[in-house]
Amino acid sequence: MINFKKPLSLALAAMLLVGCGTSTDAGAPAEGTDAGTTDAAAPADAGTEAAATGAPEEVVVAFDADLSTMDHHIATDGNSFIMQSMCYSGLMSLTANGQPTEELAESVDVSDDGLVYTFHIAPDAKWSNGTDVTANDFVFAWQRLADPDLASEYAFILETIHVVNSSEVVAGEKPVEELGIKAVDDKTFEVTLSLPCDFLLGLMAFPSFFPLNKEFFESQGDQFALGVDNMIYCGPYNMTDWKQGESYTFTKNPDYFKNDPDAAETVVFKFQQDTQTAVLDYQSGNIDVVKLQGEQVDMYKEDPGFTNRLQGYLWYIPVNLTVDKLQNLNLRKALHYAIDRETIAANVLKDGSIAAEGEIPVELATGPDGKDFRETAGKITEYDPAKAEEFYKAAVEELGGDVTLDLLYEDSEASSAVAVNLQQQLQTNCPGLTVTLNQKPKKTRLELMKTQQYELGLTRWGPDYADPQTYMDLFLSTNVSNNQGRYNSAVYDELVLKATQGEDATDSAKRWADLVEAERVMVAEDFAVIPIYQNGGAMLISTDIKNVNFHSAGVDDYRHIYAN
Amino acid sequence: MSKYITKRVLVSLGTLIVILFVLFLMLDKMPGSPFNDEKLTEAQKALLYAKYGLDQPFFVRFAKYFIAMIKGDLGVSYVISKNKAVADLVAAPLWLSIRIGARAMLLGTVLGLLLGIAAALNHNTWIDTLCSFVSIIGVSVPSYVFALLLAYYIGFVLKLTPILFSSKNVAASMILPTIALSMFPTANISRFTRSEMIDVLNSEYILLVEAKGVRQGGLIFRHALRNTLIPIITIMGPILVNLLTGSMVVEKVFGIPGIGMLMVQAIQNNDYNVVIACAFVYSAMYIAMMLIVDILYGVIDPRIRVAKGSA
Repeated sequence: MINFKKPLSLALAAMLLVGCGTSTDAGAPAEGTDAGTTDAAAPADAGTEAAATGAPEEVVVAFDADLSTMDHHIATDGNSFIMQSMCYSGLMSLTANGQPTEELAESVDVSDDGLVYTFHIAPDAKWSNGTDVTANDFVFAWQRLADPDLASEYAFILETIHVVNSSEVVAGEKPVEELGIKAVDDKTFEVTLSLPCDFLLGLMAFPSFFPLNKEFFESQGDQFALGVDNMIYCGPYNMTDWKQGESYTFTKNPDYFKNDPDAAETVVFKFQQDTQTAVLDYQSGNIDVVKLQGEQVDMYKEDPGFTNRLQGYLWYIPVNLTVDKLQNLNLRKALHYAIDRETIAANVLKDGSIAAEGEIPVELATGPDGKDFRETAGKITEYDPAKAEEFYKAAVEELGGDVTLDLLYEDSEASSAVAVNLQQQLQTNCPGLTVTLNQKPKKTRLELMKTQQYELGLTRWGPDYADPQTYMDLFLSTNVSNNQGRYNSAVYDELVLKATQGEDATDSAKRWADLVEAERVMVAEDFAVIPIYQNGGAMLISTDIKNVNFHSAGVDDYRHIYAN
Repeated sequence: MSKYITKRVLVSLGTLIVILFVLFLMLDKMPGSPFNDEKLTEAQKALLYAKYGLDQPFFVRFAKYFIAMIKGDLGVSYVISKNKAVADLVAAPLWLSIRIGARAMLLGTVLGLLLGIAAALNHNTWIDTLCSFVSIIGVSVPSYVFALLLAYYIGFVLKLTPILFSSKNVAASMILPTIALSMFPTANISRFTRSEMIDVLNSEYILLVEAKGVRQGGLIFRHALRNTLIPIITIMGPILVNLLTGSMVVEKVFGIPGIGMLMVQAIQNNDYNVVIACAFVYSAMYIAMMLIVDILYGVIDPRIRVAKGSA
């Protein structure tokens, strides 16, 4: 029996080895048949690929989250906004340093009281089907955004800039026609506000405010913006390919009236969730821009393409003031001083995040004096273990014993790491204090915090616009949905309201000073909110790529990107 | 036989309806909503719920969904690709996953059988040990580790294949995921083949065949292998479904827009209709696979066919 089995098994083993070889190669002969049969578009694609490899004008940007929608009125996520702003323009756009500048608008007149904005739309601004961009396109678009039938999650942004009747229209109490906007003539669009808004022009670069051609929109029925054939464009690029879950291609629109001659011919946004292989592909030269995550940041920080752009997201603990023990000021002070934010950013997160110096992030907003808010307001958070111990002792005396606090956080890797470190720091620096960890899925954490069923909770806020108000509004005593800790300070309320809708609203310098003071009152006087860190956004950007403009509030700008 | 098959198909359809109901119920009880509740006011949330009919009672929603489903309407996506028909959203990824899964299965089966046979014929020799080693590695090392290793060595260092999926070059982009996914079936099938083959080779009828002077090739492939295949076919069904469902990690690594990735995204975003469609497709595939396996049994082993026929 043995004698016939041996040669056979050797043959099998040999086949196996060959088998490995051929099976790997098997892809090769199959390739031809595959390309022909499975994908009707393949031959054409193969052609464009060949052309693309010859032209260095293609830039590939990897995103770790997918495109959700090209309909700018129902979009809520950053990547969708970025792609929308490739092929649509707004009245204004942002310069590299975040200042608004005219885009579809040729000029803007603002009334003396700051309540009426008149935009004169450039005569050359056209849709990709050749028709003019008119004031009516903006009227139709804004009315659609406010329409309760659409139920846009960003309808609130019309209220943020105080468009007349926006709250009533969004709530369905008044018809959309009563929204405070009108087309004076074909090229003149007028916006009327109920209160002045310092950051209105910057927001005009935000996709929610982009125009929409009514005629085209209506011709598409329920298919609008679901594919490249269901859109017309008014921006520097046309969307030319949409492969759901894979890649999205934008090709330069040669007829755009503000055509940037340097900008790349084609920009491809590639969805790649796993950043490890994305980085490999970056190193192979197939991807030009890629985001880094977690440990990768440490690994690639010496890479010539390493860039850390700060994000506007700020993580903080809104202390729950409805809990008796947390109404003790000394206890809150102890918590504030016990946290070494630098350690958390540099040693725990290691992802480019930075320690929070206050509740308003760095590089969010520039004041009337041209300085960053943080520069004016200074560093108002402080790490001082000695003070922490002292205040904690005082608190124990007042409360009549040691304290146990529950820390609620979500189940992400970053939040878990920060929470564990916070527990350790608080317990070390406030000897006698016990911190229990309470991990919940994000949606549950939000629900618990919204209903005040927590003591300390680690949460974040992403700014909607480049102004401190996006944060300050959260902590008004009247803001029931966002003021999770139920901070209730007459001083704070008065300062913020005076600045945003009261007597100082029209005076930029006074307004700014009020907001700086309000932040100090909340963070460093009442110790109601404990800022922890600001999210970093470490990336690799190929050294020959130029002109990517990041905006910590607002939409990152790839409209002028090119490869050198 | 046809009566048996009809009965099995009907039971399968019933099971699918139950599964659909349970899926609906589970999603209903899941915390959170498809909409960005960090910034959403209650009023706005209510508007969105009303718009998509999510404010209606559970049974009304289920009945509506079920009736629409029979007509081929799986609803629209709320998050992943807003307002796109789920049927359109699921079709292409499903087909891509099936293509990659089938290739991996084919590769895994061929390799697994060869390894298993080689090991059985050389029971307790170094060849056997080598084959066992390969199958242990295949079973115990997660497929994403293989995926990363392949991406690094074959894609990045040797530059033989693309690292990330590209629909411009589908065939070449499928090579690495196919290999990564084939590890698990290779290992499983080789283990089963080995133990079955050893049993069969030691059986009396093989001794008889051998005594009759049948040539070695005939003995292995006509007599021994055929009997070995029966239990292997039982495990192939679940392995194939595992390949399709378990491919999400490999899909993530290589950026393949397949059904696994879609489902993970849908779950992360509470995109109810997409979750239901993906989970339902998976269940249907699983049930279909079990059905096919049962029918195949009859084809391969006449005894089962006869027994069932008379029953």
